[in-house]
Amino acid sequence: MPSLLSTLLGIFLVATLCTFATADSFSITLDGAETELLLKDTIDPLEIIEFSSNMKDWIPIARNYGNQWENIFPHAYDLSAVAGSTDQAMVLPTGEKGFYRKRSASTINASSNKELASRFLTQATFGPSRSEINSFPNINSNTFGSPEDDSFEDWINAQIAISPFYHRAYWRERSDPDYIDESALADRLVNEVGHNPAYGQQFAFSRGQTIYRTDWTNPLPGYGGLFDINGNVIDENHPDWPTDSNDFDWQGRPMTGLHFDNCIAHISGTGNPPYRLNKYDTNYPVSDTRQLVWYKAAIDAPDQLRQRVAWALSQYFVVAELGSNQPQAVERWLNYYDIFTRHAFGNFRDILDEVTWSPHMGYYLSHIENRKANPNQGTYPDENYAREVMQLFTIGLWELNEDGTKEVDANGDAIPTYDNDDIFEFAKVFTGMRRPQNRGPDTNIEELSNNYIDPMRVDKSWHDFDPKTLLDGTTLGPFKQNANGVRKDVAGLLDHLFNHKNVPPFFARFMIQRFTVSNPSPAYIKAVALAFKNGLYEGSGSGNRGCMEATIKAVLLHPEARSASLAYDPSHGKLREPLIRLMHVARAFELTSNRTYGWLYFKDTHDTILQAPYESPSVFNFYRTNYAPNGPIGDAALNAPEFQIHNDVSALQLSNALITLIVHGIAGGNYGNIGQRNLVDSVLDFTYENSISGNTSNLIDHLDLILCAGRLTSENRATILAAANTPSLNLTGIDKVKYVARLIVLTPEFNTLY
Amino acid sequence: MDLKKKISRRQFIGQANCAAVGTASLLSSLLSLRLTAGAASASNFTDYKALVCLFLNGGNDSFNMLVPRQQSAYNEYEQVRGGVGGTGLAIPRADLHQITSSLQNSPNGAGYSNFGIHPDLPYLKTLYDQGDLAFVSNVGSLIEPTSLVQYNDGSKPKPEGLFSHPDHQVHWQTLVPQVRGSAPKGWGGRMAEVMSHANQQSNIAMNISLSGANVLQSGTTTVPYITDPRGVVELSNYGQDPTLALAVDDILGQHYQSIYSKTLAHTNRNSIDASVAFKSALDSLSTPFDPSVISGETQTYQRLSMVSKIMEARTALSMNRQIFFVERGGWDHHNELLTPQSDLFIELNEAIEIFWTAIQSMGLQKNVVLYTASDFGRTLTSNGSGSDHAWGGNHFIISGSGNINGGEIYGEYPDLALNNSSTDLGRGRILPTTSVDSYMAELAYWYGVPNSEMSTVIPNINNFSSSFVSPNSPLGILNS
Repeated sequence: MPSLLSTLLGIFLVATLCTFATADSFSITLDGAETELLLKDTIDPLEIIEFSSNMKDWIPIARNYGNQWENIFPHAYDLSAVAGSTDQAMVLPTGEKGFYRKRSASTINASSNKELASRFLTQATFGPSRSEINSFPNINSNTFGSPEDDSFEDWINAQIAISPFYHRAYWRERSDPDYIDESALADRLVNEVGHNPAYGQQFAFSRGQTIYRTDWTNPLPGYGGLFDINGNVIDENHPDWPTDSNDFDWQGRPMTGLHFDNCIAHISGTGNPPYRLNKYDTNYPVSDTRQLVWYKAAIDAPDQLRQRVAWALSQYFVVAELGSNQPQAVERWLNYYDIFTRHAFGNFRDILDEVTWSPHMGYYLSHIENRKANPNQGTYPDENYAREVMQLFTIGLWELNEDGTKEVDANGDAIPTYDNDDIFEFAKVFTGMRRPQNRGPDTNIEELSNNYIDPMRVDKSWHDFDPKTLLDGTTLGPFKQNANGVRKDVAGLLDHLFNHKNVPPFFARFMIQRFTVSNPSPAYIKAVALAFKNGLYEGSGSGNRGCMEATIKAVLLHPEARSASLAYDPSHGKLREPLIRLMHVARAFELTSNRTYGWLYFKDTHDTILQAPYESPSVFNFYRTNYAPNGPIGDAALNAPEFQIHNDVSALQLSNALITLIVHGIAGGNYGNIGQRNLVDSVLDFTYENSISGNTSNLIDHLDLILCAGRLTSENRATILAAANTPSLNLTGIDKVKYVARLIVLTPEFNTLY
Repeated sequence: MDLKKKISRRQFIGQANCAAVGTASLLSSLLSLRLTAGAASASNFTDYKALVCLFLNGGNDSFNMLVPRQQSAYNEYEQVRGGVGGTGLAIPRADLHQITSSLQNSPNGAGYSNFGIHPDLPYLKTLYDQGDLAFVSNVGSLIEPTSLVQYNDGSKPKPEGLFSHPDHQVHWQTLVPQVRGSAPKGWGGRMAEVMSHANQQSNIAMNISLSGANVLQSGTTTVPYITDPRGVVELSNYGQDPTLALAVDDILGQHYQSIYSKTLAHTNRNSIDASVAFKSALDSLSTPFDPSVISGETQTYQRLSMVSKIMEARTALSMNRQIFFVERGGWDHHNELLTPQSDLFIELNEAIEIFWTAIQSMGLQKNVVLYTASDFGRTLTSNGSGSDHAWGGNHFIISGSGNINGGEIYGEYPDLALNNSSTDLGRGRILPTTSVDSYMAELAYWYGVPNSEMSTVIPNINNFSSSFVSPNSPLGILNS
């Protein structure tokens, strides 16, 4: 791979009343108080203008990667064409005096088709693998990756067409044997499928307050050590009572029944080191079930793009374990998550509606069972949801322009979108939304004590029917004082927020940050915002405001996501999410489970790498969109959300997690930091890598392609080659593969994306 | 007058930079901050002082932590909280741990002397009675002293993003509430830069976090060293395989163009070096750190235990000044207040007792100050089962008597009657009467920040200095 060929072409000091101009770069004019930069039409494949007030910290302010000059977020200086030429003029506000320089990259090394595909799959999936790269549409075409090429959109369209992996459905097919298929009924969701007898019971579930685990404590006749298949108690007189003293657990309970038999049969079927399974293989805390399903989806589900979109949305409409509703429940969490899998390519307004009416969210942000003010008792409506639905789910804190930059008032100050009076007002809207009725004794859902699956029901007597003043001063309501009136009130406020001009750029920036870059240009944000607003990106989409398909296509297909030149822009790209980096290694080498029920059981990664499904520390997600770490990123006034969870401890924990996976598999205790204690239960498949390991150079090229999209620097390549060929280590075969892989995952090229 | 304009972000950052001359743009938790010794007067530090911030993330409903017990005031409290039981949020009067305050029994205070501590915080009562603990009442982020009239007529500037979690959390940590976001950096980070000469021999940052990245401890040039309460995490095989170590050193030592790659390589380099130094310091103790002792304990217990262990290693780490950050989340009690808050108080009470006993056994009780911070207080009125975001709240400081003038309630305990004309913004949202600045300045003076640097550390401090009890002790709590 190329080294970076940035050159510094010019540094200009802006002093009073002087004009610099050079033929081949850019010029500065001081026109009274304003500074005007005259930007020449592009010369090199990538050119960047930077500003500094102190000659130390250089802040990028404009960029050209082959089309037009554009601003770099968060700057929104006036850019205009210069009449009679192909140049552009950029006017900087009064007071921005200092130094300007231009950097450029004169040579862009071309990437191979496979490298381009790998880079795209790194953005759009939980990680590329050899087979997915090789089967990418038109991968051998001569025009692959060119502006006219539709291969990436073809891939997206193929992804959209794949039948969704619903988390709740996957679990229902493999949990309670009594679940029946109601997915086709009115008032039921498509993921309310029935149990599939072929799968048996692979996951824990609850009926009422009784938990049915996948081990010997399961009370289902035949399944655990409590009752035999005929429902008779297994006691010391029973023929199934164990004869081996090792077959009693730590509480003296007999380990017997279907789950235990399956487990023992499974162990004897493998049993070779390093697969360290034991007879507790089928035993696990119920609260980990939702993660077992999630990991299955991330690693093995074919609808990767849908799963990535759902994962992004789950970080936007956050319901997290801390302070939330019964972690030992399973179905309500999966059902909430499936709002995002179902609508991943649908419409944002539908997502907002289902989230708002979800009793699971209602419990988390406490608008469930919320009543109108009661002067006698001195109580007022809960304000939590009214605040967060604005701050996080729709309009954000500041009035935005269509390109995501902040609007300013006459004094140059940013303008808040709402104040506490608005929250107080909107809290009244979210009243009278109550827990749905329980489904009853023979319920087809995991109800525990309450129903958190069906949407909240309306209680008109709890609702505040006073008309509400909206953000623009207009009035919502009054509506008829019946259940329908309550729904109209809530829908009216959600429409009001959904149609606010902030939503497209606010949501666009969030989604871009999840998939491609931390600091999208205003032009990129605007393109995605317009796709959201018009429901179309380059002709595809529903045509309705809020179209997710158009939004996602804009995020992934915009030139800023696809251009190879931008790899040379230091501020382009992002730090990848730690969980996605872990999933990438799992997918690249086809992680395979050795567990009885095939679980891919990553354990408690929120404690180590600070990210795990369902484990956000709060409604504000794992990181804030505007987090700026100290150093070159903060100095340039740029953001990098993922660095908020990259610290002295987590940096090493993540490195160790990746190394554990490569060296052992999913392992915990003495073997690593990602699995259950002292179990090594799922391993990577290095068969292909082993076959090419004789030639270290070829091996590195291959691992570079699937782990770094071919971006490994020549320096790091040389370092790793030398280490792997160290004579005293005498590395061969799979040992060599693991040695190279563990070094590659420590390189910035693997950990970042650009 | 628009105060927001007065300290613009740009000017503010410029100001902070001045205190860090000479460090260029080093990002480091592990750096030679000794270079910055010129920032404050270079005196020799021979004593040891440590601040421990216990951040109650989510907004502690602290008018249930410190409650008026005087009958008439309790009646008002009970009424505004909606009574005891049902949808009411009041703690029964008889359950409170009784304490008295002479400061509050004056026209500048609440006007009465009887108060009660939450039933699940008995250790605070013990410390209070021993003179080792003081409360500060009705603290909140302010830009200038602001009366209810001034709040309503808009004649005083208001903090940005009032009543929102991220805004208030950041305001407590930057002490620049006229700016939204973390750009002004944390006052703990600024204090470390001003005081960097205190730990000249150390390889580890003055700021140590047991709870991950935070704004408080991030300065212009410094970031906290972040450690795990369960022990030092080392890079797998780095110490055992020299070939691997050399390759890792080469990879992390490369010059990278991408700012993300550059930041990643730099952080990982520092993490590895700091873990090596930290591990060796903890291993050098007479009773080395053993994570198995604390496994199974509460997170506050684990984190405070690690803090006391690091204090024990202060000589090995060459530390004269340290700032610790310990966060406990889960205080956002919209849904249900009484039971979850009790559970958290039980955890805090136990953890603080264990921690403070360890401090006492090391004889460090006058060298250590533990204080609480939290987003905000909560509405006194109920939303049916819990309370919502508000503003002023109550806090406590613990240190050894003699160092602290304990057994008192400082600040002004507010009138809790709904719609009272002095502090209620409506719904029992209490306007703060003591600024976070005064509260933190009390700690900063004790820590050793010279007067000349106080406005660098606490930029708005001069807006509040006219009401200081004495020049080096704004509230009169700690003996500097």
